[in-house]
Amino acid sequence: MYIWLLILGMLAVTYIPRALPAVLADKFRFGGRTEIF
Amino acid sequence: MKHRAKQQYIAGLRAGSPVILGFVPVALAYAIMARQAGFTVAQTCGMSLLVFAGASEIMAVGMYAQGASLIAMILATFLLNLRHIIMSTCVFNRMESTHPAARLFSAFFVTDESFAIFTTGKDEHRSVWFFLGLTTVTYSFWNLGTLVGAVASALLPDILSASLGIALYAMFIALLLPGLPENRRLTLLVVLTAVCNTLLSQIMDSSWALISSTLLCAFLGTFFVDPDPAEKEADV
Repeated sequence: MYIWLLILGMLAVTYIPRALPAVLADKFRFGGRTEIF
Repeated sequence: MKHRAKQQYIAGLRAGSPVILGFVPVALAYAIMARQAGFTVAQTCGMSLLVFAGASEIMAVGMYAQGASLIAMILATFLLNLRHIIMSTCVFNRMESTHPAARLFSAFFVTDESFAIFTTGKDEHRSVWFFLGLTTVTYSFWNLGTLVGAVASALLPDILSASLGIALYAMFIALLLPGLPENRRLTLLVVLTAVCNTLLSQIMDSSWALISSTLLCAFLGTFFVDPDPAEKEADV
């Protein structure tokens, strides 16, 4: 149970940073220079 | 339209195929480490299926083996994965306009490798189908490697499976080294972080020492580490 809780917690804190830009991509532009990353 | 989607998907599959060589050995090492730490086969595979972030998975398994608390492991994962905000932003800025549900679905599959391949092509915009083709390869082989490692770990000699623990250090060193020779201040920051972590480990739990030294030195780094030299030239 403890390990499954760990996995679910990790799922949340990994998915949120991935998904935020999917929703807010237009607001997250870096002056049109995204290719430098 | 369907024909173009199929073409893009196949192009993505092809573009992702070189990643297999790097993914499978690391997935095997992760799975063996997880099994040694006390994970069942289902838990080992479940983490890869649900989290799909190699560095975080290996770090969490290492911390679990050392007896770290749940909060410490999740917080460390969060810090390590904050970089996904930048990578995911670049991916979605480059992706052709598509349904929000498709974007949210695709977001789960953003990794260092898929980001690198998707954002370095010549096309100004790329299809979501290309991204899904690419990540079909990365996701499948990461999970295949995990499954094989989790099942095979019982068959490997103890000395061989124990030695795979070094994969953790090797992977982080491989991520770190390419940036160091051109940036002395970054090198200094890395050394400072290591020293800070060692000192803090004497007075607090090692997992909290890791998180504290990461936060403290990342904060200091924002003041004295030079930007990438290539980026600096581009600004002139």
